[in-house]
Amino acid sequence: MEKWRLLDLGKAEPYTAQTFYEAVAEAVHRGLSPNTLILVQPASPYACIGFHQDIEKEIDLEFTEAEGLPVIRRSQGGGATYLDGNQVFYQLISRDSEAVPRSVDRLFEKALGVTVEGYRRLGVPAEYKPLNDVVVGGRKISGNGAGMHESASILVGNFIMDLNYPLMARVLRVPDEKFRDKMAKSMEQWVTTLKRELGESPTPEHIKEVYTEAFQELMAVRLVPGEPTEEERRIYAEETKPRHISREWLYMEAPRGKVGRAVKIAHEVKVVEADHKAGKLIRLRAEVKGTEILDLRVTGDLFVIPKEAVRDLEAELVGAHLEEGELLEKITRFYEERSPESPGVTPRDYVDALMKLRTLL
Amino acid sequence: MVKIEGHEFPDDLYYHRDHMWVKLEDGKARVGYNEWAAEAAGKLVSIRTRPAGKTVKAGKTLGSIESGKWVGSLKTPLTGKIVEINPGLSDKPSLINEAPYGEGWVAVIEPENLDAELKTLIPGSDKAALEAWLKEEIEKAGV
Repeated sequence: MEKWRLLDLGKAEPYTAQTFYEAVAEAVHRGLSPNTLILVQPASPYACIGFHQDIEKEIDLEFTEAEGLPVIRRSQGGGATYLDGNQVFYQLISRDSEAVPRSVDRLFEKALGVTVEGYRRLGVPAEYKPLNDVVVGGRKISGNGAGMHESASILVGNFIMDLNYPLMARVLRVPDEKFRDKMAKSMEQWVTTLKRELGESPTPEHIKEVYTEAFQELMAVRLVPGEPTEEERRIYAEETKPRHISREWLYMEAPRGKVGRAVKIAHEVKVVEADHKAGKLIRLRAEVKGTEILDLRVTGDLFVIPKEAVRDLEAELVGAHLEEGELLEKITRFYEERSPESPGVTPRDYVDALMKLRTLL
Repeated sequence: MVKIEGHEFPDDLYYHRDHMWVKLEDGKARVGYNEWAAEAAGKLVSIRTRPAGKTVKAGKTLGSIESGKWVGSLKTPLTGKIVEINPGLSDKPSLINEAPYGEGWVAVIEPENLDAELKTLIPGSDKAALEAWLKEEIEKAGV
C-alpha cells in the first residue's frame, strides 16, 4: 500500500494555512518530499481571491485594510472568499501516485468521495455533485479547487464548521449595498455548515480523525504522521511567502474582465448584475441557477406606466431561462397582455439586457 | 489529420510533450494547446499569458489556464520572443476548447533556436510516435 506523509499543521497564521502547501508541492516536484496530506486550520481570518481574479475588482480593500484582514491570492482557481478558523483545510499534494488520477474529473470524484464520506461519518448526508462540489440538501458544504504545480498534482478543500455569512458578503466588492444584501441572502440559502446541519459542529480534532480514516480507506494509502522538512521550510521562507506578499503577485493584472458583476455563491448559483443602455438605462440584478432565473430585480432610469408592471414583469421572468427565444416570447406576451407604456424601452431591450447577464455566467 | 482515440492531431503541426502544438509560418511559430488536453481540462474560463515582447524559454511557463476550479500551466514549446498573443482569448478562453487548432491559438513566437528545438517535438506526420506519447498521457490521466 502506498504511504503518504500526514502533516497536521494545527492552527496556522493565514499565509501558512493558505500557501505552505505550495512549498510542499515544489519539494514533491523536485523529488525531495513524499506525497503528502496536509490538514490545517487558519488561526485568524483573511480574504482570499482566485488565481485569475483582480483583487481590486473582487475585494473591498478599504474594509479589509480597516479590519486588518490580510488578502491572499491563492494559486488555485475559483472566486473570492472569506476564510477563518471555522474551517478545516485538507490539501493533497502528490506526484505519480497510483491513488491520484491525473484527469481533473476523476481527481475530484475520488478526492471529494473522501470528503463526502467524512461528512457522512460526522452525521451529515452529504453528496458529491460533479464537478467539484459537495452538497447537502442542495446546499454547498465544502469548497474545492485543484491544479498542477509542475509535476505535482494539488487538490485543496475544506470542512466548514461555521460561516460568518455577513462578513463573507462584507469583504467582497459590490456595486451597491442592495447587491450585497442579495448576495448575503443567497449565501445563506445555498451554503451550509456543520453547525447548521447538526446544531453544533464537531471539534476540528474529530473532523481530522474522521477524515484521515476515510482518506486511508478510500484512497487506499497509509498515512504516516510527519513534520515539514528543512527544505520545505526553506522553500516557503525564501520563495513561497515572499512571492505571496509581493505587490506584483497580489495585484497581478487580471485577464480583461467582463462588463458587469458576478459572484458565484455555490454550485451553479450566482448573483449577477449588468447595465444595458437602451433609450433608458436598464439595470438588472438576478440570482440564477445555471441559466434559470431564481430572482430578478429591474431598476435603472426607466419609466413604466403602470409602475407595478415592472414588479410584475420581474415575477413573470422568475423560472425563465436566459435563452433569447424564451425571453423574447415571455416579454412580448407580457407587453401584449398588459400593454404597459415604457418610453425608450422595448421588449427587445429587456431581452438584450438579460442576455448580458448570460455573458456573466 | 491524425486521429488518436477520437482526438485530432493535424499532421502539419509539431507537438510538445506539455500538450502545446507548433505551426511553422514563415520563420515564426504559432502555438496553441492540443485538443486532447483542452478536453481533459474542461471548458476554460480564464487565461493569463505573458505579454508580447517577452522572451520565453522552451519548457517554461507561457501562461496559465483555469477551467471550473482547475488551474494549469501553458508551457512554451519553443524558446523565443512572443510577438503576438491571441487577442480573442481574454474575452473567450473557451475558444481553445472550441477550435484548438484554429481560432483558439495562443501565441506567435519568433523562435531563437528553431532547428535544435524542433527535434525535441513530435512531428504530426509521425503517427506512431504521437500514438505512443498520447497513450502514455492517457494512462497517466486514467481516462
